[in-house]
Amino acid sequence: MYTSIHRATGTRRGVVVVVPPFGLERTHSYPTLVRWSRYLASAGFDVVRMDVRGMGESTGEFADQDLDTWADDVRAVVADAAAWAGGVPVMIHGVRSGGLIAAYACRDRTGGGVLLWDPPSSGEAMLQEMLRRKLAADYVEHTGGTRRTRVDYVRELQSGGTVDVEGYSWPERLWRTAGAVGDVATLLDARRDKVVRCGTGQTAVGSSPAAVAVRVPRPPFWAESAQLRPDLSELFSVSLAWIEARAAAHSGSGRE
Amino acid sequence: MTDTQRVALEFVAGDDRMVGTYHPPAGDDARRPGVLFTNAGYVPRDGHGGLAARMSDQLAAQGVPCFRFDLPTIGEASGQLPEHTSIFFEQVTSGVFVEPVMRLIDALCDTFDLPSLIVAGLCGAAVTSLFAADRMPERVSGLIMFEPELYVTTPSAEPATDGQPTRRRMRPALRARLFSYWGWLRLLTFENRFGRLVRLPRQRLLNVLLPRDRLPAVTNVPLVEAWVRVTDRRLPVLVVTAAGKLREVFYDRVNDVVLPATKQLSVEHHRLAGTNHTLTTGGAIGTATQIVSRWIAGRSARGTLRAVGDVPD
Repeated sequence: MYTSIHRATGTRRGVVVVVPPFGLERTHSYPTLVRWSRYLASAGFDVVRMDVRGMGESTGEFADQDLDTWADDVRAVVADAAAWAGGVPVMIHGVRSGGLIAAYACRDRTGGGVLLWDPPSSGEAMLQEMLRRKLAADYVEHTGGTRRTRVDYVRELQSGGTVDVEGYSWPERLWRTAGAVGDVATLLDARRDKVVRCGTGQTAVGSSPAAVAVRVPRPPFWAESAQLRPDLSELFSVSLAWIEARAAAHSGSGRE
Repeated sequence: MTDTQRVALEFVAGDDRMVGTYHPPAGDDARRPGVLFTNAGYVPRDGHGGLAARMSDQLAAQGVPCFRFDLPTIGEASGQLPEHTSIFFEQVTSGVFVEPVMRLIDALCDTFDLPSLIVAGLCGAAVTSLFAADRMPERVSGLIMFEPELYVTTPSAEPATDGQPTRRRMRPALRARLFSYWGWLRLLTFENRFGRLVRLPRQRLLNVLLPRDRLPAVTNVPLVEAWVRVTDRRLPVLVVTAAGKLREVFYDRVNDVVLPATKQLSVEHHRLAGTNHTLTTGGAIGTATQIVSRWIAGRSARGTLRAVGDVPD
């Protein structure tokens, strides 16, 4: 598994494990997540950016992965970080589908708190949205072969086939395990986790007491790359404030 | 693919720190050319849909050392991207990454004792690779271009609007689209959302926009000059394009003008049907990987490489 560490400037106040989205959203959000990691490091936090197996720099076939293998990956990285963190809290930050993976991995309250940026309402909602994007792109670009519907693709996945989405072969197990996750909000604990919704639209997790909304330029940085350095100052400052509060709470609890 | 190995690398030259991945070759220790992939535009070094990473895994399994690097400002490398994509692509088409790539080629050949490198990449990386291949004939022994972009940068397809479009804002936007050269090219090559909705004499309109007897006004002339020199030199080149799409149409028209029909070429061109510019649909990454695998195997001086998997004709 590949991880990249951004060392904190000055004394380390905590460690943040960043779990990016998978597929095309990882590609689009990559510059922002590197920028965010450098920002956090300059604020005194070590940052571990990770790629789950089958994605990015990590080895493994995408078709062999599912929500369970990816949750194992997150827990392994968090455990490793905790081993060298020297007593400071290890927080987990998941972005979009990475938020789903992070929340699922830490549902047993692993780590020092979970921060999610615009997570999907559920595992199935996430995959359905990606399938919808595939259908739209294939239609517009005249690609993808014989025209099919989302129901066709879902049926194919459910019957054990694979579906090519954004260049990756989705296996049946991904569909099955993501579908079993259910409502993301139920995986969270409002006392220690935080959801940041980007934009003003309501999502299912918006009802969570842990949710807060911020404005980001549209289209959002994970969906398109027309802007390579969008103004995300509100998103960054709200998120950093939560991370600092978690670090302070950990320090105040005498666990250092 | 099993037993894949990837090694993180760092290359520091002056103020630039580039971060890369090495795919060690399987098999014997024969000294053979490696393959260097660079960033497809601003995309991190694994590529869209993991194209570069997956291709490198496959080639390494065939015994070919592969390298993928984040160039300055991209991915994990040092520096900061410009604010807008359009500015970034202006920089790419002007060759801003050529010098760093040339330094990288020298360093990789020296450090890994490679006789030469094949340079490879999609879109912007194809541009940089072509420039580098032209300028380093002694160290670049092959060129792989996916969706090469032989024109200068395109203006933004979407006129900027702040918030919801209003009628007042729509009018200039609509006018700009109606008379936009790139808007029409995208429409005719199914690269915008209206392409499917209107029936047009596509070929005839393309002939007007891209005449066959002269270079289009938006041609990246220095790049096409490099292309002519590279083909004159008969450098082995593999080109893979998305059939009927904008880059392929442009590539064909440029070749109609600059490469005489009688010229002996060492260029192999594959057109992939049913896919997009980033090759992320229609199973194109797998197909392209097989094409590259076969092309590289065919160029092995020792003839010891083997293609992995079935290769389509």
